[in-house]
Amino acid sequence: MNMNRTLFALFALGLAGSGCKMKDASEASYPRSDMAMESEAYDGDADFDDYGDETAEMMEGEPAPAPMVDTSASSGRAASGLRERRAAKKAAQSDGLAPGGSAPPEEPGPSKPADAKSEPSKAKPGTSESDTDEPEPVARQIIYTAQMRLAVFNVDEAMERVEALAVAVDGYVQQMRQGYFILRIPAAHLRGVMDGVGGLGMVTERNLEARDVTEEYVDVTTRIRVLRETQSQLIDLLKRTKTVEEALHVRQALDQVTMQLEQALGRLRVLESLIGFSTLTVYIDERGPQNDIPSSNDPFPWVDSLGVEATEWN
Amino acid sequence: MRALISPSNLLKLPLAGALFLGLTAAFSTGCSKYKIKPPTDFVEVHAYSSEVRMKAQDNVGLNLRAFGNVRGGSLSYWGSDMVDKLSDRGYRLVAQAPARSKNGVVGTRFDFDYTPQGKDTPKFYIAVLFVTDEYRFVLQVAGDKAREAAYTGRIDEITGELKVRGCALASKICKGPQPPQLRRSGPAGPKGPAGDGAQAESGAESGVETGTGAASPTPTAAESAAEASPASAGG
Repeated sequence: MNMNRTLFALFALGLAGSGCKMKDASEASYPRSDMAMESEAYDGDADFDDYGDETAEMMEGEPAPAPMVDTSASSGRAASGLRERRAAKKAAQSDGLAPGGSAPPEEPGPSKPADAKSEPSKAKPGTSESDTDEPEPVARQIIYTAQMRLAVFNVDEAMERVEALAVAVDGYVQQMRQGYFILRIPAAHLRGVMDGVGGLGMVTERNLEARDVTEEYVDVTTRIRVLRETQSQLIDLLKRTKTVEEALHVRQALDQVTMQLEQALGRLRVLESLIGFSTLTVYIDERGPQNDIPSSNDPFPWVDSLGVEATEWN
Repeated sequence: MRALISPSNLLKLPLAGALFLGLTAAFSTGCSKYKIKPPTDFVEVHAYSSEVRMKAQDNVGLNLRAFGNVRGGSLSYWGSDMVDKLSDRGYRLVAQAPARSKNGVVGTRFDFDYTPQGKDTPKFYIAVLFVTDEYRFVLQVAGDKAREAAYTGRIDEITGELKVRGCALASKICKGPQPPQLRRSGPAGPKGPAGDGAQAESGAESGVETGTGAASPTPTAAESAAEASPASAGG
């Protein structure tokens, strides 16, 4: 009976801590992390859809195995995990974020995504870092998305140069077709690349959007930490099972937690990718003498349509 | 009725008819802002109401653009404006000389050197500016620098094929003075690879040559030439 209670408590903890949304699974199309792969060792043929029924059966009161885990300790961790999560959220909402974490629009960039990346793995299984109520400083996490439209006389040449600009700062081309680019640029270099692209021709449109995802980022990283703790406890629990029935129950719970963990990790990877690499969409229009495009607020942009490119026959 | 068909009125009919035909002819041709025949070795590629493009066998292009003029817009003003903005894009003014159209409108010829960034093929670019009360006209000839010698001496011949319209009666614009010798500290090269609209950063020698309407502008003392800006040029 105690064993059932323990399992149920862990389960409830896992579900409450994860708050998983199934749509995240479709976004988590990245390769699984080491942790996820490790967890896969315990991944059986359990049908996750039946999980609700299993829970119901456990609640009805099956023959209870001997207690194997200190329930009080487990629930204490759960409580502290939730406390920490709330504290982290609060810290993210407040203005007192980590210094240097927020990037001004002039210098868009992620607030140390590398640090953030390692954050989930800091929480070792079975240990709780949230014993203190001191909230960890949270760097502001911002996703930058920019768009530019420019007019050039030679589209092919401009496209080559745009691609070269992205590659030069370790960015890459996500999508390309004639006169159209979607570039992924390391956030710290976004402004420089935009300036470079602007120098290739006449900029007719330029915009930059910043989306603060600090709250979601903190939420996901905290969820991962809690899920890992739960997973670790379930692994310990699985090792101590004495009957096949107990093992099956624990394993089903472990499978569920592992799935939620993978979803959270996938979401984290998506966030880190978006934060670390800004998205720059570039539209390149061919410019000719027939389409005068003012380059500034000059009331007489007539000279823009003059020149060698407009005269010489290519 | 009888008075209308009197002999004296009948004599006036041919005069009225001639006047009508004359006005019709004048308006039918007067609608176009310009008139130009393809010079020798050039063929017309396309022609619109405000632009005509021609090309030669060696891909040297000839382009005539017409823009509307505004009150106060003189040859001096637009000449300075054009040179300034082209200098910003990396064009280096090397010569300046008066020019004249077939119908006697005075213009100014500007010779530029230009090398598109990222390319090692220098270009020549000649722009002849005519300003009338209603329009501005820019006749442009451009191509590889290696072909410059074959065309630089033919500009008078080409402008001799051009008629521009828009001069008012007793126009001061059409008979206005030549712009001052323009000399601008332009950039050494273009910033933008496509050479379009990018702002220049560094300065360079312009070394303007001046001429007096000869087929090829001849150098004179340009050092003392006044630097003209659009604001100071009498806009």
